[in-house]
Amino acid sequence: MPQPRPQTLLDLLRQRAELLPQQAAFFWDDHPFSFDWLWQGLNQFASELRRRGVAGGDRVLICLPNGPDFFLAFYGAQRAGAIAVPLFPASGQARIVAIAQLCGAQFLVHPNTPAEDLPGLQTISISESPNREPQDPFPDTGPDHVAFLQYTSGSTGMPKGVMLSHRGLLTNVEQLIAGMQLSASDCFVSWLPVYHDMGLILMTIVPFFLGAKLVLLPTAAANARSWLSAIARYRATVTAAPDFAYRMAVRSVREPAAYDLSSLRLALDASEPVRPSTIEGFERTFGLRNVVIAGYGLAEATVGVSTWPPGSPLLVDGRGVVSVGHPFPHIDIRIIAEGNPVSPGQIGEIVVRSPANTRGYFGDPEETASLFWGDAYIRTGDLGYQDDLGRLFVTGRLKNIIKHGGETIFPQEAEQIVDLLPFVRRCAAVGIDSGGPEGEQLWLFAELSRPGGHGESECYDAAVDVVQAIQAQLGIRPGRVYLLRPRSIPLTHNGKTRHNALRDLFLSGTLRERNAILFPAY
Amino acid sequence: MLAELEEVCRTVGLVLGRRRVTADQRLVEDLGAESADILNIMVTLEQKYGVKVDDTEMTAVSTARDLHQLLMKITHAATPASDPARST
Repeated sequence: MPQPRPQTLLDLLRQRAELLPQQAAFFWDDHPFSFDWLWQGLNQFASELRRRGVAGGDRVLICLPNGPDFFLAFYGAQRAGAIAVPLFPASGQARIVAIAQLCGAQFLVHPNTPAEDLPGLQTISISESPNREPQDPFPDTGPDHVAFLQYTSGSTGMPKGVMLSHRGLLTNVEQLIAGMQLSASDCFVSWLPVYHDMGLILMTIVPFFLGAKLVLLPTAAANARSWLSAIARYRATVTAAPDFAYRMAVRSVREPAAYDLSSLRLALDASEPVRPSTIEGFERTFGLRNVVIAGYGLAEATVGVSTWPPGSPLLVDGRGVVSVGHPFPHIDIRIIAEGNPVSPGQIGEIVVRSPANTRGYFGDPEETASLFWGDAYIRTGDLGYQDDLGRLFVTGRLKNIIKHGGETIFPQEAEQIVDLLPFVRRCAAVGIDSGGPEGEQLWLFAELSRPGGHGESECYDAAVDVVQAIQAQLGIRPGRVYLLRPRSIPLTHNGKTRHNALRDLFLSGTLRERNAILFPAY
Repeated sequence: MLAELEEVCRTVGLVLGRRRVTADQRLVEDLGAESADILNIMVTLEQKYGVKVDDTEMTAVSTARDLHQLLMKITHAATPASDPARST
């Protein structure tokens, strides 16, 4: 019997559990986890959250890696009437506390209960939670309730929580399915993080919606071989990854013929700038043709904005920019410059109107007000153009956002961490793609507070401290760390860092010529 | 410039944010290196020693000692006339 269209993510999972209780919602570590398991488990965890005091509209931080527990926590929080707030699981305590304060969260789901709770946060561990019988009734959840907050970097350097409603999520899921021609007979293999939008929405909610097979892998894989092996073994038809992952896949296999990827119908390359050489190299290495497609999206439009249907050939313009295709159904794209739309071919800021657009940032009316343009268009902060046929090309960014391995980082996020180190006078964080296989990464330039007396060994220890501080707070390691003489970082007349000028000075070799770099010597 | 084992260990330590890395610690299992870190180590060594590392050679590398041996092999292959006795 056909089910009515689900109004919320919880409706969707309940329908799946009723209609196909024993069907695997996903495979993890080669074991199937059924929709019945998921529905029972999320209800039990929701009961535990209620017992611990979670009430309707509360924010629940979820700091869990890929795996079955993530889904119990993510949907359990929603079932308990709360708003889920997924966090990068390697986030340091300072980052967790900062996000908790921004969204007023009092609860944190974490793999282990720490010896002491973080300030103002009650920590809940799934494995240590008793199996409670679900206690109806849970608060009603409607289509316009916020399902989760997707934290993203803000123009002021403070992270912003994009509010994603059930209605917006299900709308974007249907847009993705139509635009990418996905179906229940597809097999999804994903190693993308589930705590981030592309991995969560495209690679888990879409297959749940379709009732398609989903094989979920850990993200911490040390190389791409586990991803490629799973595609081959499960005969995957759909996968997705940032450009970086496709480059790495080519580099990390010795015998590509050992990986039969011929089952792939569609491999989405999105969430960071797409290089033509990446797609060409990946397809050549694994003997594929028109399988990797470029896509574009952002959290403020839920996730997906544009891509190509399966089988589309690569389209590259004269400057080497890959087209990210046509907007999904019911999405209108405009290109604006100085507040007004421009003609096809002209570069400007990309603005997007979609029924899946967010209502704004949680608890941040100022940032929300500056998000919108005209009649319900959101400003993406990305630069690009549309050609005469409406195909979108993304050429750059308005703001100094750094893309690092699929994560988005705002310079201030990294700079405020490094600036606290005692030996640092001033730090600048820049996204640099030096043309190597690693792609764009977070590079740090730190002026030392004392001009002289820095031996090689002292500098080495200082640079290691910078890497450690960034890793502890942001959960990533910077691509490079350079220690500079004082007053080497170019500033505006009112003392703000000129990030683009610094990047140019470095890439042109001028910084080295001026003898501004104290470490490293190469 | 020929790579010294100690310098290779320090490069690995710099990328991974560790003050001390020993030659036989495994990059992934012992030091927690991820794929991006391995690439960064490789690119940094390429830049430092002015060599080009074949991607497929990297798949056999597990420790800083392996990296050092790989660099020595590449440097010797590039300068066949050099005298190994003068190489350190």
